[in-house]
Amino acid sequence: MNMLMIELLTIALLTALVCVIPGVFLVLRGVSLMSDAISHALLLGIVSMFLVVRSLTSPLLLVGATLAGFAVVVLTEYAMQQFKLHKDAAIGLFFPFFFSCAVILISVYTRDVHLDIDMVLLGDMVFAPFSRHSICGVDCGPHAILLITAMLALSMLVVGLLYRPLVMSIFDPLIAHSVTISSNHLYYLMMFLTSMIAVAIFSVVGSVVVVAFMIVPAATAYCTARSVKQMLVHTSFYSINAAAFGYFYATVADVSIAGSIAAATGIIFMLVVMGAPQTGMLGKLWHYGETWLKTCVMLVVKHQKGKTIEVSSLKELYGWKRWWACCVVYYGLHMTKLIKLNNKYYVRE
Amino acid sequence: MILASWYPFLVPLCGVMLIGLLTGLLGTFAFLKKQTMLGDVVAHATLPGIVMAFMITQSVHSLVLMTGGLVTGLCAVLLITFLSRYTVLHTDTLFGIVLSVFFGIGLVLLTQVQKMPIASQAVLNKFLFGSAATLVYSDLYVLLLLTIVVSVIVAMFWRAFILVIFDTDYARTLGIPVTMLQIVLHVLTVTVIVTGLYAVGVVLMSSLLVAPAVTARQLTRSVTSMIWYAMSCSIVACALGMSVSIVFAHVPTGAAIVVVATVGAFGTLILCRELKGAV
Repeated sequence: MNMLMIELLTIALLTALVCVIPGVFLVLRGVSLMSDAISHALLLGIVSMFLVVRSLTSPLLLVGATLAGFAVVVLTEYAMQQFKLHKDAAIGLFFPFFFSCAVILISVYTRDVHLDIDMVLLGDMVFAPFSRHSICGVDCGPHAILLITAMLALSMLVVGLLYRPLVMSIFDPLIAHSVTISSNHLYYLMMFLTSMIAVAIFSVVGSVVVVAFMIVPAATAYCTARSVKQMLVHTSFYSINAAAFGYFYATVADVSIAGSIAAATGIIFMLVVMGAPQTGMLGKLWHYGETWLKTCVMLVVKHQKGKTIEVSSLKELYGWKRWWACCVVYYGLHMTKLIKLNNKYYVRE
Repeated sequence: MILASWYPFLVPLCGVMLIGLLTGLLGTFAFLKKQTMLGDVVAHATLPGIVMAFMITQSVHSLVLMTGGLVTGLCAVLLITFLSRYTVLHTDTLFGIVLSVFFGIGLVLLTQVQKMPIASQAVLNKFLFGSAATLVYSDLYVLLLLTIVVSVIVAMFWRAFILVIFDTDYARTLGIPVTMLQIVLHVLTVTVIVTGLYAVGVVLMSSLLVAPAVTARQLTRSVTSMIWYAMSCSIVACALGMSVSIVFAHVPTGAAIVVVATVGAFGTLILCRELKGAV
């Protein structure tokens, strides 16, 4: 591994980590699709700021993008409260508007500038290490790493300071209100943070994949964790794994890094949803089957107490299929309700 | 003479208006089911299908790509239905998951395609932003056929659809095949979305489903008239947007349509509130 690859991996891991806190908040608050809205709307901020300052490297572009992302949140909330629109409809109404305004501005005013919508939508991690930051001629590493680390520190600070109020406002806004915590203010604060983080990472991973980074690991953790702290830990675990696997697959197969990390988060989600020991689908299926078997064994014990039975007699008595009768017998043996005698089974008292 | 000079614009205009009619119709159903973001999700989920269709057949013919998109779009809808039944997650979160993961897979495939010696940029651009201007006469037939098929199906199962949307349990007790009808509705929606991608592109597709329905909802209280209102709003928005993009040469059609539709919807929201007072 050379320096470039290590830097790329660092960017991938940091991007995954910085999305943990907003992701958990969005999933718990039930506004996951707001991340989609923010990540599309920030294009308008970038374009309009660009028209003002006429420079593609100005930090004002990031400020504009953050404000545009926040504006779409405010507008959506306004429409939900004022016009009683459903959450889905309110989100779907405004962010395409922001995005198309940006597209119109780009195609009318900036046709001669390198402001590529494909790049915004799809992103490209490969070029991130080449835009470097230096202080007094000393190389401090790529812009992306510095920016994302700052965002990570900021979000950890906010959540560290406001952990209890936040949890309270998510799960019980009324209680929060009664101890003078405004869940609305906290909501807007967190959405502003989400918007900042989306701005910090969208140039690396692209608009759509931001949603995968934020939502999918948090949703996976939602299926397995039992407390908010546990959920934060689980989310970090899933997203780090997804970033690492996705990155290595992308370098081996030479495909889009952001895309393959998004696919990896999806694969991890499916694995966990299917195979988690207690909450997973297979686990539930097993639990269901086990309960059923146990009931059948208890039925046999109740009816045939002290007698000897065979698989074929069970088939006739209860009309079970042969495989099911075998299963019941095996499970009875496992529960030590049955005892094997030659080819027959003795039902214990 | 005037007609002849307008002919190049007339075909795309008709095509876009037909798409508007379809999205207005099915957008109302999606709005009433509170699943308007499904349009956005399906639109994004078609990317892997479109790229795969391109990889397999090496053709950029719109019907081939659309079939691919249709397959993965339906997969996305089925996956959402399945997961919402068997996990604890909200539909909202599931929408986000399916949207972004399918798009990510699409990106992986797309970068795979870009290594092949064929220009694939055309596929991507068509997908992301649509190309209403390239609609030709033969596309109109396809769109017309689709419009007729969709309208006939909706008209045939009209009462059942309404019942399924508003009260699934009651519909079930009446012996209406609810699951079947839901699948039919999903198939229609996905088909229309995939077709609409060619007019306005993926990012702007969701707007065409939402905005007319939101506008129509403010104007009326009955479903039947809501559908008529939504279809007419959608057609008007498409026609206006198209004209704007014809008059101002550099304005992309899809973006213009979305701006017109959203401004219309927002204006109606505010106007209706002012006229009716607090609802």
